Amino acid sequence: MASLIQNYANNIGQGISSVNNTTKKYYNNLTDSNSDNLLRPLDGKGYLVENSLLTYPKELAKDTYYTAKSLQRGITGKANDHELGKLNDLGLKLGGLSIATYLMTKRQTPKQKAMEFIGFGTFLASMAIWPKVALQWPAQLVHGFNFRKQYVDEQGRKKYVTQDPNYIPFDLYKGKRKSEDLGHIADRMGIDKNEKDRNELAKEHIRKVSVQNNTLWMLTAGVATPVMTALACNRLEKPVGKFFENRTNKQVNNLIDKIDEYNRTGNRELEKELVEKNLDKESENKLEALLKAKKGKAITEKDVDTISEALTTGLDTQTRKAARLDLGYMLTPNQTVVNEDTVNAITDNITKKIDTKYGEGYSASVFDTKKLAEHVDNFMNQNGRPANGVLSAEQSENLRLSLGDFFEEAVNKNPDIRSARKEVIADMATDSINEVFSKKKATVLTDEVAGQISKAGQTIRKYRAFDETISSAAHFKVEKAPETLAGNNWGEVTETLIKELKISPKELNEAKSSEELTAQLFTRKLEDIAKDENRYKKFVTTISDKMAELDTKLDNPRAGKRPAMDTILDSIAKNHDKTAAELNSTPFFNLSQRISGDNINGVFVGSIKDSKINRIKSGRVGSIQNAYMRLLHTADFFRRAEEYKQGKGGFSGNEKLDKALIEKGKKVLMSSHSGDFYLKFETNNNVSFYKALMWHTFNSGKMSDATSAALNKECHEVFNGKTTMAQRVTRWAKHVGNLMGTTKYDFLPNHIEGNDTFANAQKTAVEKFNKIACTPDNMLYNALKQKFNSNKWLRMWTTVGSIVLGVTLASQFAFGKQDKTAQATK
Amino acid sequence: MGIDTSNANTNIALVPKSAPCPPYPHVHIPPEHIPEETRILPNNPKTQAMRSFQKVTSAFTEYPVKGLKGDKKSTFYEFLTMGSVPYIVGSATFMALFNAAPKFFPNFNKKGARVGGNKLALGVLLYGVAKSISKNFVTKPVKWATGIDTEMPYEKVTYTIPNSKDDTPVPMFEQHNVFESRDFPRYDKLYGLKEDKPRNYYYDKIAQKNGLGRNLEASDAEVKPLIKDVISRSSTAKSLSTYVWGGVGVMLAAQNSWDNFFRALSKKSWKKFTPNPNENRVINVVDRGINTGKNLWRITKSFGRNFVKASKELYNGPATEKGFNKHAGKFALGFAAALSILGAANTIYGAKTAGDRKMVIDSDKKVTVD
Repeated sequence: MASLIQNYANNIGQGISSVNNTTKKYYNNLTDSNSDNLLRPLDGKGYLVENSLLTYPKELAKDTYYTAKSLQRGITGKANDHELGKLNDLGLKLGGLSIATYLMTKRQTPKQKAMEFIGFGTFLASMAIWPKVALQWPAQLVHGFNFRKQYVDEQGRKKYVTQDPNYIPFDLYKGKRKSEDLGHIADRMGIDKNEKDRNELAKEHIRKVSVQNNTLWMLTAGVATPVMTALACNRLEKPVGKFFENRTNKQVNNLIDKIDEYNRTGNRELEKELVEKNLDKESENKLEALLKAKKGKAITEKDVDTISEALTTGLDTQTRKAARLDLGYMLTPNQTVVNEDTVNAITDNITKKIDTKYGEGYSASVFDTKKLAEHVDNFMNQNGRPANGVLSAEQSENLRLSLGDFFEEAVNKNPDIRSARKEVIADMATDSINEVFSKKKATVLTDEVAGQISKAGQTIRKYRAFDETISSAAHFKVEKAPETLAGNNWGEVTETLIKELKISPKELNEAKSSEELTAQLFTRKLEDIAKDENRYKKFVTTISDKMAELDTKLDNPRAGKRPAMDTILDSIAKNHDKTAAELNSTPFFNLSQRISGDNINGVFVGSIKDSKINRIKSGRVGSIQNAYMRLLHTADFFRRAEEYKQGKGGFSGNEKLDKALIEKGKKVLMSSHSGDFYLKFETNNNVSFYKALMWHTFNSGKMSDATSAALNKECHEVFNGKTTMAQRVTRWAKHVGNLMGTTKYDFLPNHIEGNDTFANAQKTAVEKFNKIACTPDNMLYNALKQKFNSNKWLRMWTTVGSIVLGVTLASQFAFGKQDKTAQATK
Repeated sequence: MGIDTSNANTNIALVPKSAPCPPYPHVHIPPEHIPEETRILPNNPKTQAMRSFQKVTSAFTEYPVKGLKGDKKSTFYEFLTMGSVPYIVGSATFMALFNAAPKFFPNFNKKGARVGGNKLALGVLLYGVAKSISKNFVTKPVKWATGIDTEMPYEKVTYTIPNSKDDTPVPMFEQHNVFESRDFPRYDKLYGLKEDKPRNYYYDKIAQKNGLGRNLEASDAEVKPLIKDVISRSSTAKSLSTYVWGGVGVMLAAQNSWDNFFRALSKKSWKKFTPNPNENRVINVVDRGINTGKNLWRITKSFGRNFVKASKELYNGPATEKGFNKHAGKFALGFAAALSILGAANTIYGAKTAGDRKMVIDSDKKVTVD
């Protein structure tokens, strides 16, 4: 025991002698005698943590390891309070991640999915950043110390120095660094150098300011963290959206290249990737099981319905009807099923008829059911008992006639029936037999037909699988959905429009109330812009550049490669044509027509191929581009009006007429919908004016010099290739003039008059609607409403955030004031 | 300066009633002896509600006032209790974030924004409820199986340190759990829990229930490590599972079924009461009350109905989806349930096998110090 103590004392002696810090100096100065070899407590192992960007990765790694170890110790029941606290933080993160993961599955686009995680990450970051930025740094500036300084205690537990005001480990402030030197901190606090117990005063100041800051942290974090999270997410959405748009577009372009290659080469590997991966196994199993169960058996109308449903899973009702029609032809019920039910059905039917006419129970005396059953049985035996009781058309007819004879004989031989009734009863029996036979009509699903249906099923599943691949690419490019190229570009163009129009918050607030007020504002703004040539050119250039981006993104134009959108449309056409051809070789003519043709059973219904191609070409890309062209053409018209005012001509030359034309033209371009075009903008009492209006507004092909200069840049156009915006705008205007320039009130879809550069078939109501497109005022109105909403939200929460931040920052100046009564007591 | 703060609370808590006051000359001696008032409370809904009320009201009123002044009497307990402020205020802010702005939006945009905001608010609410309820998925089985109620509440009464000679001590009430700390469980509060039973009654019971044996010489010494083990394991299980359950609450609120509930909750759906001019005021007041009750009952029923629907929706997933997207709800529920079940099982396992683990001191042997 004694040696143990001796060892201990020696070790301690060595430990003390190696101490070369302020503690040592302190002891040296304390007394004249050297106390180095005396027995006294060891210096603690605890230390203050110096956090900086340089030490951050190391500290992060240490903390992560500590948490992992805590988890292991927690599961085995060894974790201490500090470790359990770390596990609580881990739980918070686990919960947050599970929420983000789940909500991600509910989101449709990669950006939205990513935002769920970014949102959670931002929340965690806000929780950490708020106390640092709003409290720690300002407090450090004002009071000269970091109240969120961390230390590692004897047991290796990292804690905040000031979290417990009754236990602040001031002994760790050994003066190694300025931030750990109480003397220096006292200097920063402005405590007089000659003050008695200077360090004690500094300590009390640290305690007080820390308690105040920790309290303020708790009071403000509840508002600050969510607001910071929301505002940060709001700011991050745009760059994140941009990133994912570029990324997805690259992926989709690659996919389109593969589709193109597959179309050209039929590469087997690509087929696996683009087609077979999407094959609908479920519907295959369903159809095959159905065919297997019914093969060689009589099938009813209902069975045919079920087969047509299984065959056309995932397709529309019209297509299902076409398939049903074909199946109806293939499975015409020209046979009859005879089984036990047949005899019962005939008996029931005839009994009901006779009893109704001659009274309850009369039928019992007319014929013997047993004999009827025997008769049918004999017939079946004579005919070799066909499988499943299915009789051919001829056999069925023979049975029907023989049953008629059976009843006639039974009635005639019966002496109890009055002769007058005999004929009536015989007729009734014939009716009953016919009725039952008509219900028992059936056909047998032969191997051949089952094989044809199975083959058609295979063709359709392959068609759907490839269509799914093509549609996924088309969806991202053009669909009216969040985060598509078309949707994003529309948003960017309208945002640029608002920016370039320089709409003030007050104007925004007023205009968002109605489309009419927006139209007035837009007109006023455009007139202002048109007055200044340079500003006008900048306006048109900026907007048209944004518009042109859509075409480039959609087509991904590269030398020697097919434009992406052309590949999409070609692939759709090829997939449909190929499928239709394959189906036509099986007896599915109507289904084939529905997929790529235009009539079913002689009736025009349109094909899936056409509707898909039209939707992309005219419905989506076309209508967006038309709206863009309309906007640019409107701007040009305003500029032309301005140039006219400046005496550059450009209209009829008749001042009065020109004034009216300009006024009406502005309104037409700004606000008229297709209905207004049909109604001739209420100019029915003046056909000449209407004609002049249409000519000067659309058909003349004139363009102001400023617009020509601004839009003469070469650009790429989807489905057309190289062109200029100026050409596109003029082409659009002329097209509208030709489509709508008729002077007749004609609501027929294919009306044509005058210029015939466009074929009749193209002048459909849908084409007119698409060409006239969204009005500029409507475009701006919707964008303004959105802008107002997001501005309102942003302003509201920026104000809240700023107030909280302001109060928090200002509080530092009120903190740390010494209580006068406490001073007095001291 | 000069006041010994380190032992002030424990002096009050640990000094027996009959003992004289601490004879420290530098400490201000209260006018009369302060009795030990710290006491174990019954763990029931009433106590829980009262404790929560006391903690929350103090966290919003008394503690911030003290804290902002930098009061010398501010404690770590107060700081920790104030942790409920950001939780509550944060929830309210999250709710407000997407609900405060829509009322200024143009008419056609209001509705969509409100539905989203309502779902978010409901999510915040269900997060809190699910998190709080799910604690029981661990604590209750552990209590049934081991006899240890890890949530056993006690109220600690401390007296403030006098600032000056004229200052009088003020009682401070703190709400704690006996087993909230693994490092320092309040073992002392478990001795002599029942007046007519032996001093080690509680420890005897736990030892017996967990297979350490009956009639032990020092059941407390045997059981204390077991209790530490249970605190550590159950706290781990609670930390990991309750947040995930809270997440399930948010997921539940994200279902479309709640749209019907929000409709039922809307102003439009509130069946208005029109006072009958032919009746007297009392009858009209009663009828108004009945009408309000009926409306609330209608809303409650709608909540219940849609809660069930939303749960099914969460479990089954969207019909149009497949793979992970379809079954994500099932996975989340399964994950949360697995964390609770495995966590509770691990705690119970730890308690039941505590007797098998090698102890430093063999309880069967007499230990003497040479």
